[in-house]
Amino acid sequence: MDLSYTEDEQRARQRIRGWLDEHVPAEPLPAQHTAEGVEAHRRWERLLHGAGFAALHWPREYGGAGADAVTQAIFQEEYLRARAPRRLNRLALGLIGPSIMDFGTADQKRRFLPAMLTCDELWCQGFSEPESGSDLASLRTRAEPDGDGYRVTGQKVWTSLAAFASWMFALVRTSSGGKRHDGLTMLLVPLRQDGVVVRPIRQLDGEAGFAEVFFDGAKVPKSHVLGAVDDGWRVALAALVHERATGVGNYAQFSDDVAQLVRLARDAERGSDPVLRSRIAQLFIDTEVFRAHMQRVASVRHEGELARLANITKLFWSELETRIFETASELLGAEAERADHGDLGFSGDFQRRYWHARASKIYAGTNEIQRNVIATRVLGLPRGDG
Amino acid sequence: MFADLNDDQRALRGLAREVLEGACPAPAVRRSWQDGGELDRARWAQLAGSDLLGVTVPERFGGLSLGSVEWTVLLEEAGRVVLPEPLLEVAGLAPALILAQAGDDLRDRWLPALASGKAFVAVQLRPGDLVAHLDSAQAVLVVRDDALRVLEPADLTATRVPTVDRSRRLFRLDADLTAVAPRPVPRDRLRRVAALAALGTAAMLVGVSAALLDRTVRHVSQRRQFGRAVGSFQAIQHALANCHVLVEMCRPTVWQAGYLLDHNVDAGLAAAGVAKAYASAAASHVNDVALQCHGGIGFAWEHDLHLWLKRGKSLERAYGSADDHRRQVVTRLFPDE
Ligand SMILES: Cc1cc2nc3c(=O)[nH]c(=O)nc-3n(C[C@H](O)[C@H](O)[C@H](O)COP(=O)(O)OP(=O)(O)OC[C@H]3O[C@@H](n4cnc5c(N)ncnc54)[C@H](O)[C@@H]3O)c2cc1C
Repeated sequence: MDLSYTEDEQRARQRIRGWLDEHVPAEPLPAQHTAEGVEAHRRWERLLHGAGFAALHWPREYGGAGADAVTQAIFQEEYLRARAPRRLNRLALGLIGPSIMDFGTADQKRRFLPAMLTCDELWCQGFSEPESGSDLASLRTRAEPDGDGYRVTGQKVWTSLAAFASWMFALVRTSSGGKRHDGLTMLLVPLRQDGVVVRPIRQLDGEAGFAEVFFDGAKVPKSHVLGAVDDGWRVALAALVHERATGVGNYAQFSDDVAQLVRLARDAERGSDPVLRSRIAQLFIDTEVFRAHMQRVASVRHEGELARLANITKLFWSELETRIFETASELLGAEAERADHGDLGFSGDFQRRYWHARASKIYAGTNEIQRNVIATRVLGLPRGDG
Repeated sequence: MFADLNDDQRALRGLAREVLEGACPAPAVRRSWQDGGELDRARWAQLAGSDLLGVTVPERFGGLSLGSVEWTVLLEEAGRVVLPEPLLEVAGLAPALILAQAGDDLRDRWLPALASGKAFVAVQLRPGDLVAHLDSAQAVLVVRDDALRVLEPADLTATRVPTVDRSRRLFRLDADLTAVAPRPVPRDRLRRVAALAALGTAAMLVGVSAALLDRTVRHVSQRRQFGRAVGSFQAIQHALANCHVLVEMCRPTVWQAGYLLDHNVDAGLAAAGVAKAYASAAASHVNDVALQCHGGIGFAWEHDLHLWLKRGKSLERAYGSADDHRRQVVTRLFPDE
């Protein structure tokens, strides 16, 4: 245990803070789910990339900064403090890029990684299907050999960012008959082509954040298979480990939210209510506990231990986020019903954050699935009806 | 920044676990329940022999000169085996109080004896607190009004108070404090000792909870109903997965509070309260799930489970309950009231 920051870490913080103070736009950018918003965020991402901040966790050879987890957490703390724009190509940077580094050919790395950093190409993750959510390995979208490549037929759903993405990281079925996990393949699918239709779906938070994606004989060259054919399950599992590794600085967001609740409560009429104050105090305790946990995660080197802690992180973080915004609603009282929420705190973003929090127990593996995994793989309980 | 246990700290944990599991297996705790939790001098000597009593005592007084993080690591292991002896007070609060006051005479007299296990010193931080193992103590350190008083056995009367956890040997202390000279101690140092008390208790609770979880996992893996292990039922699995989350979330919070109490006391005071609030609530939940998952056998006096259940309930409230510590957070966040 040593909670002090090294000189290198302090210098990194200063450099990040100095740059952000100088460059973060004074006015918030237009909403990300609009075409105008995507363009504005793309420009911001290029600025970040130019300064070497687009992908701190990527190795230098792929255009990242090769930073350790502690420096990533520092970056996220500072990013939040500066109220910098929401990141755009989140899935590419957090999950798909690292998967290409793990499993990709030299050509694939050269072809795909640079455009992720510049946001010339935005990516989405095509795992879920109408009939395959938690039971992902039952998926039916299939890829059939056709000349020099594959033809993909089927449907993905709840695909975040698909409306603006030009590429999909898609898990598809390439053979059936054997064990169902064995016949899956990871494909890098170009979405801008005949044979692909993307239909945005409006979410409870009002944004068309996810979409359904229909494939009707869409073409994918052989060179866009990631990893081996029929070995996609392994690639998918590895990708999910990367997904969990990206949130090391999330605690800064929650601590900031709770600090904001405290400020709101000090001003609000309802804020002197002892029951409400007790709830806020409990949230303060929970966010402190979460910060300590995430700082531990950032310090752990051992892969097995990291994977074990990842399920815990997902469960805790999603439930904490929900509690924070339920308490915020309680504090707002009747006001919480208003849709014109500009003055309700949380940077004018209260309703979106509230409803987005409600999704967090569902995406990235539902919390029930996380509990199944902890019970059987960590605690070693016998498999049963789960 | 490195917010995990380092190799030395892990080694200490391994050593403490080995020594404590050897010195204090469940049948020994059972015996302690029967004899009213009398001090087991052989066991105490064993802990001393492995240097576990002087973890926070400076080297020049015969201790290991380690910090509060290491101390919480040790206490988690003591909680895991529900050690009857008051390791928290004798090997933590007593040395901390003696180091917090200025008198060399007290340091020279007590610190080497505490580290070597030759002396046994009891502690009372607040008026009315019951005192553990008062009957075996050569001295009692009593804190009142920014001062420390060292009472000898002749200065006090000790009245045994029966306890639900029969291996916790507690006494009411009566004494005429005006007859004993006060030794002034700076107020912030006394606050730090109070925070150590809450933190050490939190650490022991983590050990109790971890042991309850382990035992329950073992039980539900073996117990069969409807032709299968009850641990294969998802209702049981999810309840235990939640307990696992709670236990794992407690640990880094406890370590960080330990670190801060040694490096940045103001932050440490707050962090220790957070740790105790969280660990107490977590322990209460695990306690409930552990009994429920055992079914009827868990409610039988003869089954060992209640050794952990009852120690857990005692420690949940010792040195401030979850509610007490949350109330302090309220006061800190909303100082106007
Ligand atoms: C905002 C949002 C964004 C998303 N983005 C993406 C994306 O970009 N790409 C993508 O591929 N997917 C995405 N998803 C989909 C998400 O991964 C799935 O919704 C999730 O995996 C659950 O699948 P499902 O919706 O089919 O629910 P189901 O699997 O039908 O589950 C319904 C309920 O049953 C429970 N359940 C199912 N199986 C079990 C079991 N074995 N034990 C106990 N309970 C069980 C679930 O926990 C849940 O409560 C997104 C979802 C949301 C809400």
